[in-house]
Amino acid sequence: MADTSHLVRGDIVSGLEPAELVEIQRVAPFGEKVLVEGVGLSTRRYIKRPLAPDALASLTKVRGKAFTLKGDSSLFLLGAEAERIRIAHQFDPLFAMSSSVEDPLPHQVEAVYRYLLPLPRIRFLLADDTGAGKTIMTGLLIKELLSCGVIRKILIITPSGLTKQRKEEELEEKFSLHSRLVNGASFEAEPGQFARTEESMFIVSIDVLARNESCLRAAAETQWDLIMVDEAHKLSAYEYGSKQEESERYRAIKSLARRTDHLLFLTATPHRGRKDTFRRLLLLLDEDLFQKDEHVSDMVREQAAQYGKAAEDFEQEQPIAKARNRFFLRRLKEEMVDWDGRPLFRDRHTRTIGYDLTWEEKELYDAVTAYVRSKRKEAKEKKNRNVELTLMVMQRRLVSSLYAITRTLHNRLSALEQVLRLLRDPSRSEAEKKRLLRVPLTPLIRATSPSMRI
Amino acid sequence: MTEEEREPIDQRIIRQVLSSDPAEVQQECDEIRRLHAQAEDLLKRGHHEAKFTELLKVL
Repeated sequence: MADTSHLVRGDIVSGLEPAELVEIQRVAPFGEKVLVEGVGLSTRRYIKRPLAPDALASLTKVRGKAFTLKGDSSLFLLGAEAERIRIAHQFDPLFAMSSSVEDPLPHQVEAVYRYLLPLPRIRFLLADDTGAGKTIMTGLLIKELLSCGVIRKILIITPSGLTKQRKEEELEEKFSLHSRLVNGASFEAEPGQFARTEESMFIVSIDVLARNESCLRAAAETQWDLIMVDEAHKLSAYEYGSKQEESERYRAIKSLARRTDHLLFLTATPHRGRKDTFRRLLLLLDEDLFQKDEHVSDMVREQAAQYGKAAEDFEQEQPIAKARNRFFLRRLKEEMVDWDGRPLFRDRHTRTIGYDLTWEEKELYDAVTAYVRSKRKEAKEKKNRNVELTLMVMQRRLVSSLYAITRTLHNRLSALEQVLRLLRDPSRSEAEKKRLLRVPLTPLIRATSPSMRI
Repeated sequence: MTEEEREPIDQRIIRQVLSSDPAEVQQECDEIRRLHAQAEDLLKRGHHEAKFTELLKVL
């Protein structure tokens, strides 16, 4: 029979019940086994287990019935400190701020503690001006949610080239938040890494997700607590009547949006002049609320009122200009102040200054403009919008700088020489030449910024 | 757009022509060559643009 002398009534053991410690009530022989009876310390549930000798030996006595004061005091202090940190958020409403090396500014604290944390489900567009410190706000938010135990599995999606900076400079140095960087090669080496339990925060570039199908599938098969998308304006989708066009990046985030409780978009340029694109971005945050423009309009007005703001309009760029509501927040540089109320950024003054071109510049300007005008007239007559676009680009480069127009003219010359070689190539048929010359530009024009659209 | 994103788009835009007649394209090619030579000459001489002189005064 197994030796039971090391266990007596009143001992506290681990290993008898998976989730809790048990106080032993009785240990008695039970055939070849030993019957151990006890009470769970947390649940106060009565537990009765017949244990084989090896199972009995695997029980760990956490505390004997008799107390001694001969334990390691440093371990006790360590345990007490760990417990203090674990529950600190209950006593310090600004816990993440207190435990970070970063000293946040008033508008950063306001965004996190006034707008984001009170939301039961964060589906939000944080659209503050450039330089507002949106990454600091997200660091604070993540730290606060992690310490409360609200989130565990986090995916941070950044533009290509910013992943390392985000991991090392912004999360580790400022907030002591450790994350795992995922790129194409590291994903191929370990395709199941999103499921790892020992790590909870992953950083991946939007293009890895958009172009690596298996990586996107693996991310979409994981249930996330928080997904954060940096530079969210790059998720573009357009509506043309009943037709819709979605970019690869947009489609990637669309497939992840339902796989997370909290979804946070960051951008300094949320509205680029297209109502449909803006609404499509919001649609990723909430597919019910943002289905129709009029619903959005009503909802935004209603929510803005809660924050003491005048009714916001959903026309042109209005919904995002200085917006404060439950769905998005935008503060401009002019509104941001330090803790003493001093403006963080100097005022911006715009004025137009005229100047005279030198005679050499004027000569070049006139020559290029004459070329552009004559060709533009011809392009208009032939109804060729592609060439009109080419010429507009050239005129813009001309007024930009000498270097810019020289480079554009060089590129145009090389391109025309290529076209000539193609046209004079005897091995190609006329039909093939025409096909090669006719490059559709519409998708390219759509891909450009509004200022490039002509 | 970044320079990297702009470059391939520029390359495609810049190839557009109004005619598939080699003689007409050759004519345009010669005109562009002349304009390019004129601009490059100024650039190589280290020409200081009036625009930037004015800008420096403001800064």
